[in-house]
Parts: sequence; structure tokens; C-alpha cells
Amino acid sequence: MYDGSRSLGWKEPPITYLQPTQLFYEFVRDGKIKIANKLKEPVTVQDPCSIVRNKGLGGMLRSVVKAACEDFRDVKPRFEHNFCCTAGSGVINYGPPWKFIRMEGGRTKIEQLHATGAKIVIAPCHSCHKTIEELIAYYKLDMHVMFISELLVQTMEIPEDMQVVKPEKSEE
Amino acid sequence: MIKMQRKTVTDQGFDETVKNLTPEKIEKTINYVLKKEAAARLKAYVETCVHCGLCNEACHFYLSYDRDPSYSPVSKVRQTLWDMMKKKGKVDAETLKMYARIGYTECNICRRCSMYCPFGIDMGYLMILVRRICGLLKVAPLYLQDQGYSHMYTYSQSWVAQDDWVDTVQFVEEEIRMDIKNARIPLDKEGAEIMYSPHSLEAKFKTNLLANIAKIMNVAKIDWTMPSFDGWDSTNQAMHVGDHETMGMVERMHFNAGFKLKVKKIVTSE
Repeated sequence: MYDGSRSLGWKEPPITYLQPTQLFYEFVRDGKIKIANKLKEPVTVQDPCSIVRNKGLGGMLRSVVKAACEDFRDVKPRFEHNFCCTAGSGVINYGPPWKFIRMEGGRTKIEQLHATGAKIVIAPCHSCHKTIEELIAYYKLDMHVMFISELLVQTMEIPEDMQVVKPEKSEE
Repeated sequence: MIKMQRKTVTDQGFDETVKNLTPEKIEKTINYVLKKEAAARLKAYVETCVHCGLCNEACHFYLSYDRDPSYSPVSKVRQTLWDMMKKKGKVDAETLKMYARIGYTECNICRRCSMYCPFGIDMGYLMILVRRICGLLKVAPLYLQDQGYSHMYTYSQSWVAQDDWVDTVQFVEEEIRMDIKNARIPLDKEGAEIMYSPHSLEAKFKTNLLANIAKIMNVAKIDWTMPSFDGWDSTNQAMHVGDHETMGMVERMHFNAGFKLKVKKIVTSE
């Protein structure tokens, strides 16, 4: 939201708005979400420009990832000095004619992620997710991208009263 | 003189639209944006830049293309805005196409370069200004323009109308009940703690992401809701096209949904 609410005459956004990263951080911190089975593979993160450079949530992102993963490997450069994924500001939406610009321009990004030796990249942003997945395929690397919400869903503990009894089990 | 070496790319959004432009129209638009919309801020940035080139190393395009100087941030501004100002808006359609290509495809407006600029010049603003000029003249990548028009017509990024959106939510709700007992996706709940504004893709072909959020909200036992009416989509592609009028409308609809439901916080999708 570049100057969004300001261009409409509001000095600050009229309703507080949060990024999901911050929300998930609060959930994990307050114990609303409990992590049951941590990820074992080496994991790294992508700092999206909109969340980390513009809103400064890099620390919260890492704290969620560290809570849910056993082997966390940080990128370099990181936080607000991180490289863009080459899909920002709508470049992701330009379609097939412009795919090459993301693949060629993203070389710095993918080299940086590859240097960490991680197998999973946690990306909290839709554009970053799609482009890094495409970059991995383009440069033929053995990596995989995961959303931060996907990570939480895979690792969180579902309380007993919410668990669904699978039909196969009930028949036994 | 910097030599531009670029692949030829066919994009109807660039090639067809420039045919409708006249030199007078281009001159009028450039001068309108530079003098009426950008005046003081632009002048301050242009007069402060000392061409030191510290921003070069910050740009991922510059690094990825083996330090090709034509991809450096200062060179991108020089080839677009400074060129327009030097020629006082008197440029032909082919030059405009080059401006558009630099402004739209060779900068991600990530603002990393601003962090390395000794004066903190906001490059993002300058490139958005180039997009604003090209967007007003309708010279932009076709796919991006299409999404801008989708915002005007369906109030969402990817041509998902309001009735389709409600349908998707019902479908997702049914699906998450396979994993979480009696899970709910409450729509239009007044006075809720949190309003979640999804990405348009979550209503079209990435519904698993909406399911993820719904699962987390249910497990965390949060008082949350989503609007069933227009304004549910948190994305804003009109901003990237340079269409600030539609951008304002989208933004206002987004906050209006929050006002209407009297929520305390809005959570966007990314």
C-alpha cells in the first residue's frame, strides 16, 4: 500500500491493519497456536520487500520460523538489506512475454538462497512464493518453497476436541 | 553514453497502444504529471542526486546482469525521468515505449537502492512516476492492464465477482471440515476482532491458502470474519499500472468493508 491511505486523505490507515506474519507471531507468542511436530529439513526465509523493508517484520518472521523448524539457516544479506525476489510491484503478473526478466534478474536471489544450503524456503508473500518456485525450476535446484501459513498448518497441534475421527478408524 | 542492449519482446500492451498516441498527447501528459502531480518532491530528488553510483550495487538487476551499467538505478532514472525533463516532454512514441519498458519491467520498486543512497532518495517514487505517465497513456504490459480493468469491473484482481467469492468460501469451509471438526468461516460478522482480507488468487486457484488461514484461525479460536460483499479483495494492481484513480477506489472499498463490519483490525493476505 504505497502511500495508499495518505493519498485518500488519511494520515494513518483508519483501521489498524496487520500482516499475517505479525498475527502468526502473536499466536505463537501467546500460545494460541502450539507447535507439535517441528520441521526437520534445513529451512531458510525470504524477506519480502513489503513486509520486511516497508514494515520491519523480519524479526517476527524469523521467530515464527524458528519456533516451527529445527534447522534454521539465515540468509545473507538479510532483513531490510535483502534482495527482492524480482516479482515485486506487479512484475509477477506480466505473463509469458516477460517471464525471462524474472528468471534472469532473479539470479542474485536464487544464488543467495542456494548458498544457505537449505531445502525449504519460507515465503510469506504470494509473489515471492511463485517466483522463487519458478526460479528453482529454472535453475534446476533441489529446493521447495512454502508459505508461512502452510508451515504453521503442517506443524501446529490440533486440539483433541477439534480432531476429526477418520471413518476408517471408526469402522475398526 | 549508455548503450541499451535488450531482447525484443512483443507485448500488445506496448506495441498496439503506442499507435494511438500523438506527440501532443504525450507532451501534455508528461508535463501534467511532472508539473502538477510531482512538482516539489521530484525537484528535490533530481537536484539532490550527485550521481555517485552507490545505488548500483544495491540493485539485483544490476548484479544479475553482470554489472551492466544500463540496469543500475541511477541509469534507469536518467533514461526515463531526466530524459523527459531535458526534452520537456517532446518525445516520440518509440521513446515512450522504452520508458515504459524500463519503468514496468526493469525495476521492482523494492527500494533497496534507497537504503544505500547517501541522501535517501526514494527511487520507488521516481519509478512509480514513470509508470504513472505511461499508465495515463495506456502503455503498460497487457496482462497488468487487464488486471487493472478487472479492479474497475469486478472489484477484484482476477475477475472473481462477488457471487463467485461467496461460493468459494462455502466450498473451502466444507473442505476444511475434513481436518478440523465443526470449523467455520464466518462471513459478515459485525464487531469481530479481525477481518481477514484475502488475496484475489485465494478465491480463484489457490484456495488452499484460504483454507490454511481458516484452519489457523479456527485452531487459535479467534473472533474473525470476512466480508461477503465487494471490498473483500486486498490486492491492488491498479497501483502498479499507474492508475491512481482506481487505486484510490480499491483502497477506499477495502477500508469501507472494515467500517461496515465494525472490525477492530484488518489482516491483509501478505
